Amino acid sequence: MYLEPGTWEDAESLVGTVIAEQVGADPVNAPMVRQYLESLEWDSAAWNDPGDGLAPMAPSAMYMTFGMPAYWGPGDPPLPDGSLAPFPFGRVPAPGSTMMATQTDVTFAAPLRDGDRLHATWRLVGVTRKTLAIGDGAFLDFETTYRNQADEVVAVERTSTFRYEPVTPDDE
Amino acid sequence: MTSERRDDALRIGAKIAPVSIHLTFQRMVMIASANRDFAPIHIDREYARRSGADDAYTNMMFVMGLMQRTVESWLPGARLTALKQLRMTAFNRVDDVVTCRGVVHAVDAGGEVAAELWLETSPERKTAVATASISVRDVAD
Repeated sequence: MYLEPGTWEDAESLVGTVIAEQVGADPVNAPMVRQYLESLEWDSAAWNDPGDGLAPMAPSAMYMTFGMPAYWGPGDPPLPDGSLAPFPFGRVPAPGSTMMATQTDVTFAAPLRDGDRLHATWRLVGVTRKTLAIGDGAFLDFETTYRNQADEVVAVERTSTFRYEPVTPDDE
Repeated sequence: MTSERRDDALRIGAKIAPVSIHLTFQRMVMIASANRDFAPIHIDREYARRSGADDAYTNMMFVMGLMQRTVESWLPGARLTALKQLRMTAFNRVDDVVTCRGVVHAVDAGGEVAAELWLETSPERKTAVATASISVRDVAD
């Protein structure tokens, strides 16, 4: 993951601000839902959309999939091998060459319906400096609100990450 | 579902029916493709080993999906409304048989259930834990 270099003061100055707005590459659609259910061997009539556009048709757990931008689009340079999912966790300028998620809270506020186009607002909500056994760094807390095309909130996720410089044998 | 069976499922301490899935490498690729997370740690076994893991492993989206599948297979009409303090505590790796289990902690009169959910690859090895909020208002008597 690319991590924007900077200082802890840079990161702290962004607390409370929107760091990214993203639009999902694909609307909620039956073929992707079917493939998702297949991958988990999930046999459920709950996701058989009657076609009225009102019944939920995708498991709520797919909110990140349908809120994810494309890895590549027309006009973009070739995608480098090994690219990660295009989420903006690394866009906060800060020290530390490594980042990992430590905890997630998510609330599913509304169903995912056929044709929904999700957009996500990413906000940095906390920076807490901490030294752990794995290295010196800080917890960066993100709150991401996923809305559909009617601006209805479908999911709110709060993820804590730890960004740090790993301890090397020379440091010990 | 009979009213007795529903009440038995919704008592404090009741176990949520477990769901297991065998993570063959083929399935891991299917999961990564379906949730669109193509990070090499999920689909490249050599890359994952070079990064320090035992093998390729699944992501948070897999954990959430298996938890939702477990809750909503347990009681028809039950709906997962939130996962709190969700943490991955170990990797779900190629060839692991991952089981999602749960225990009911609280039931309120409004039809909301609080439950502990976890994934494990053996009774001694939990790979993810969370506190779930589950709506059972639409579960038939």
